[in-house]
Amino acid sequence: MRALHALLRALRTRRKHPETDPIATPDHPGLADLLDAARAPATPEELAGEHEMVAAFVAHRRSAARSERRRHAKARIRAVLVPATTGLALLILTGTAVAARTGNLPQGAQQHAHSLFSALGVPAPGTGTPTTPSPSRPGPRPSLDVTALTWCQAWGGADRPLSREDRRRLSKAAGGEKHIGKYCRDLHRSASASPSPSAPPSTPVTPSAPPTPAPLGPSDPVQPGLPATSEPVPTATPPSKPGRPTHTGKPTDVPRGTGKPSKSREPKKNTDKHNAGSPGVAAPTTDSAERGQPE
Amino acid sequence: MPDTDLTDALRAAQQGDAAGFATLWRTHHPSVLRYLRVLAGDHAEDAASETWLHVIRDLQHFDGDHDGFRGWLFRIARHRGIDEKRRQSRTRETATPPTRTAPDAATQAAEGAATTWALTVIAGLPADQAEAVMLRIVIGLDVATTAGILGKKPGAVRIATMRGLRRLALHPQIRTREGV
Repeated sequence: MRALHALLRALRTRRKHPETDPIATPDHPGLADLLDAARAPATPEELAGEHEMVAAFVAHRRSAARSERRRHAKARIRAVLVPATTGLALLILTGTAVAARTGNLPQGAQQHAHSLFSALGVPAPGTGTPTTPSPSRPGPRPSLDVTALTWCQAWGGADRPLSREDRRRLSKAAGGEKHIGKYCRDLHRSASASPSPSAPPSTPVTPSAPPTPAPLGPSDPVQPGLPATSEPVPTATPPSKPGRPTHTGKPTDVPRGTGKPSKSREPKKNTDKHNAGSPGVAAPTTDSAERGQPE
Repeated sequence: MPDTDLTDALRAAQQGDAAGFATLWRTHHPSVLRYLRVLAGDHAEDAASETWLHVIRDLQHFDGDHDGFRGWLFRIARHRGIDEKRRQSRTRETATPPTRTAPDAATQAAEGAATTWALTVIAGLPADQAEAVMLRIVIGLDVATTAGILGKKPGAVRIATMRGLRRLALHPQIRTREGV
C-alpha cells in the first residue's frame, strides 16, 4: 500500500520536475537497505585478483615498450632507406638524361627519346657520338678500322665529344692517349689508300643510305658505303660522315674536314669548327681534343 | 579517495606505473564486478577480467580525467558483459539452464552475503532497469554518463531507473524487510 503511494508520488513529482530524481534517495527502508547492501565496501574476495591483473599490466607494458623500440628502429631504417633510394633513382635518371643528350642510348631508346624530347636537344640515333654497339647490332660488325675511323672523327672534332667508353677504346687501339693523333692520321691514310674493304658489309644493311649520296658523288664509290657503316638506321644520317669521301679523292695528309660541312645537314657550329681546323691535321686534332675532353 | 588522487593514479598508470594501475583497479574493480554480476550472472568474473585486459591494452590511448575514465571503464565492461551473456546463451543449449534463485543459507552467512542478495534481487529486474539502477544508483554515475554507456537518451535512463526502483520496492523480500 505504501509502495503504491510512493509510486503515485513519484509519477507526480516527475511530471512537475523532470530534472530532479526523487527516487534516487528513497525513503523506503527496505529499498534503502537493498541499495546499501549493493553499495557495500569491497570484500577481500572481490579484491583477490589484484596481483594477477597488475602482473598483466606490467607484462603488457613491457611488450608494448619492446614493440615501440622495434617501431623506432624501423622508422630509423626507413629514414635512411628513403633518401638513399631517391638518390639512386635520381642518379639513374640523370645518367639516362645525359646519355640521351649525348646520343649514347641504345638505338631504339635513343629514337624514342628523340621523338619525345627533340626540343630539349636529344639527338636522333646515330647523329650523336657514334657508339660501338649500334653498328654491331644490325649486321656484321665492321672492321676495327671503320669503327676506329668514326672514333677518330668524333675525337678529332665532330660536333659532339667522344663518349668516355669510346675514347678509352680508341686510346687502347692506338696504344695510349698520346698516340691517338698519329694513330688516326695513319688510319685515315690507310683508309683512303684502300677504301673499298670497309664499304661492302654495311651497304646492304641500310636501305636509305645508298640512294641519297649516290647522285651527289657518283664518281666516288666509297661515299655511300662509309657513312652507312656507322649509321644503320634509316634516318637522315648519311651526310653525317661525308667528310670521308673528300679525302678519298685526295690521299694527302689533310684527311679531314673540308668536305664535311658542305652537306648542310650538320649544325652550323660544326661547320665553323671544321673550317677553322682545315689548314693542318695535327693542330686541329689536338686543339679540338682538348676542347672536347672536359665536356 | 578524492577524484584528484584518482586522476593522478590514472596519469601514472598511463605512464606505465603499476602502483597507479593498482589504485585504479582497487577502486573500480568491485563496482565493475557487481555490475557484471547483474549483467552477465555467473560469467561476471570472466567478463571483468576481459574488461581490465581491454583497459590495460588501450589505457595509453585514453584521453580524459578520472570521471571520463569511469564512463569508459563501464562502457567496456558492458560490452564484455554482453559478449559473455551471448556466449552463455549459446552454451545454454547443451548445459543445464542456470537458475536464478536466491543464494542459499551458507552463502548468506558468508561475508558479503547481503551484497550478493541485493545484486541477485536487482538482477531479477528487466535488463534495462537493472542496468540503469546499477549504474545510476548503486555505482553513482551521473545521468549523462549512464546514458552514454547504455546508448540511450538521458530521459529514457531516468525512466528506466525509476521503474526499476519502483519494481524493487514491490519485491516481496524487500517488503518483508520493510519493518526491520
